[in-house]
Amino acid sequence: MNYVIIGNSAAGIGAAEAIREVDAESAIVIISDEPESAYSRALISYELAGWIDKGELTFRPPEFYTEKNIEVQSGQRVVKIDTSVNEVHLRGGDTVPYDRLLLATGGSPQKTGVKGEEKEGVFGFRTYGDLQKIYKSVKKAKEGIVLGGGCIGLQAASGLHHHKIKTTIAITSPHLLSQVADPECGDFFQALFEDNGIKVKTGVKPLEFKGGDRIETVLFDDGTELPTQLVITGKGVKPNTDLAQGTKIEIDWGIKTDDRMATAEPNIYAAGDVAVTKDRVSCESTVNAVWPCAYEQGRIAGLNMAGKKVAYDGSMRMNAADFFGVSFISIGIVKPVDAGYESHSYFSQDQKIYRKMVFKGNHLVGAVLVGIVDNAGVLTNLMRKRVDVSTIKNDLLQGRYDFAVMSKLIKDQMESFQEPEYQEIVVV
Amino acid sequence: MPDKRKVFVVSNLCTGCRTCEIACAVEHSQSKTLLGAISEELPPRYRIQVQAGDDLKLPLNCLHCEEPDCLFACKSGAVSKNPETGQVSVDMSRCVGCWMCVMVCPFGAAQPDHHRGKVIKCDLCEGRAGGPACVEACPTRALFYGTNEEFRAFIEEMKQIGIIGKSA
Ligand SMILES: Cc1cc2nc3c(=O)[nH]c(=O)nc-3n(C[C@H](O)[C@H](O)[C@H](O)COP(=O)(O)OP(=O)(O)OC[C@H]3O[C@@H](n4cnc5c(N)ncnc54)[C@H](O)[C@@H]3O)c2cc1C
Ligand code: SF4
Ligand code: SF4
Repeated sequence: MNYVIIGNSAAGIGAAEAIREVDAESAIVIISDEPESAYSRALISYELAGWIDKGELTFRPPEFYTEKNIEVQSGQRVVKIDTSVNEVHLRGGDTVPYDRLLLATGGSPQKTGVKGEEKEGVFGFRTYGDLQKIYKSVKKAKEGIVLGGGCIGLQAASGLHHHKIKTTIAITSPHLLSQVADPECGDFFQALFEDNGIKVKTGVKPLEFKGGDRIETVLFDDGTELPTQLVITGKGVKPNTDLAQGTKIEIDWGIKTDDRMATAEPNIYAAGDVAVTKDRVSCESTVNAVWPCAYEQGRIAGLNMAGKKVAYDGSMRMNAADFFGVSFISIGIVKPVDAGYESHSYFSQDQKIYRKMVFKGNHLVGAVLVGIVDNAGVLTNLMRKRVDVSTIKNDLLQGRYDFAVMSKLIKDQMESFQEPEYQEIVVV
Repeated sequence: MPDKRKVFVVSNLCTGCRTCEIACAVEHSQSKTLLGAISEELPPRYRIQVQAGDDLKLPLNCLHCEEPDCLFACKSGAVSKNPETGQVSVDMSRCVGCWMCVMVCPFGAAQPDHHRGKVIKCDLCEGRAGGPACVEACPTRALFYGTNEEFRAFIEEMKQIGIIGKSA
């Protein structure tokens, strides 16, 4: 058996590790167009902000590939899949045959579409390569602008701030973290960032990146023009689906997969930021582009590629971060769009605590935690398992959601708690 | 059979005295004594937590899961599972305090340590001669360190001598 994995990141590594758990012998080839060995792109913001040492972004030890007997082809771009003969074509002209193929190609930053986007000093923030380019500009920059107020944008801003750059976060939405939190919560983080010397400009759209070859100012639709030598854009990520062209693989924003992570093309699987999966909370088909989902999908794909029959129970929208010592976790549906949901929030400005829970019927479907994030995984688990939480709802609303509270549900809903660990705790 | 030993909980032997929490914190302090521990600049933290429900006391700790969600979620590769011992460990030098593991651990066993900016979880007192400190310290034998089979045997024995009653 020949396993070929395109992508050397969360999903690709998850798959390779899973395959090796089942099949110690067969050849595994990982191909990546990035020159580096597996690194965590989620850590480029940490490096920029000086929270980790330079180059400390690998998420597996250097000996990983040799120990697992995995061949890596780094710096090689796959340009085509020939499904008639089961081969992938590399840019240099070489071909690599496969019996099972995984597309773990992730996503690329979306273009802003703003005039002047190609100027020097305007950067996406996705790869180690992007980070290296940003470093070169950082030295010369006095002022910087981050376009984007999600977790990555906020981390990028902290990064520029660390390099003593006067930083402004400029966003179209009326408050920070608009995709994942309420106005109250967003405003709280805005105050936190401003207290720490980072400006936040809300409700503005960039109209033009101005200057010569290099960026000099950004013009916004409210008429303001801010001087800057460095811009980081964060307009979201588009799945890298190009390779699926000309195959039977179905695309709906990302690559459609079934519950074994298989695509419509025999022997080809997809996982991670490129893959559309079923969200286990909303039940909608979507791309949940976060690390835990990417790794887990890679793992499920790998197990199935190696002949196990393992079903994926679905992805989940989730993210965690820490800004200036204030923790933030957002899980599931946190901004319900219709009246079928019931939301409760608790906010204490003094204690820097915010908590929101969203219910649909007897199910917990979303949560936002700020400040105190302990036991967040218990909530994640309640959502993931879609268990009836009516008997503990009051506890949840009071902020009591440790495992002891949850364990009350186990006896009545045993079928949802089949993992061996549950049998190990509630024994007698 | 690999030696997959971990800490098991016999919930209804727990009186909620929290001796295990103290033993854990002391074991993870610089001085390894209670007196020393309380005067350390960064207070040591316990990993085991006695969670108390209505009629339940649960000294809960990392279960070193078969399919560890924390490992799948860790974006820095700080978490690993030893295939021989089953132990799930965090390499503290790699942990970046991103709380991804906190977000997914179903048991609340991975906790944020805001003082150090790193996660905190049971390390089975690796290298400690007497095994995990919490187990040694528990006055009512509500904690058990061993393999699954040894634990089942222990439960049987406790039932036979009438210390624990019929299954809940
Ligand atoms: C700055 C930043 C911060 C983030 N922070 C978080 C966070 O805090 N928490 C979180 O959960 N997630 C975070 N994410 C998202 C997380 O990094 C992604 O969800 C995860 O990396 C997805 O993994 P993946 O394997 O699907 O794809 P990717 O990581 O995008 O990797 C794609 C791989 O495919 C390769 N590839 C693509 N096309 C080709 C081709 N044609 N030929 C050869 N190779 C190809 C690439 O070289 C790469 O190796 C962050 C992302 C960024 C950029
Ligand atoms: S920290 Fe939680 S998820 Fe990880 S092994 Fe321990 S109990 Fe399992
Ligand atoms: S807090 Fe540390 S161990 Fe947990 S996911 Fe983040 S880096 Fe990994």
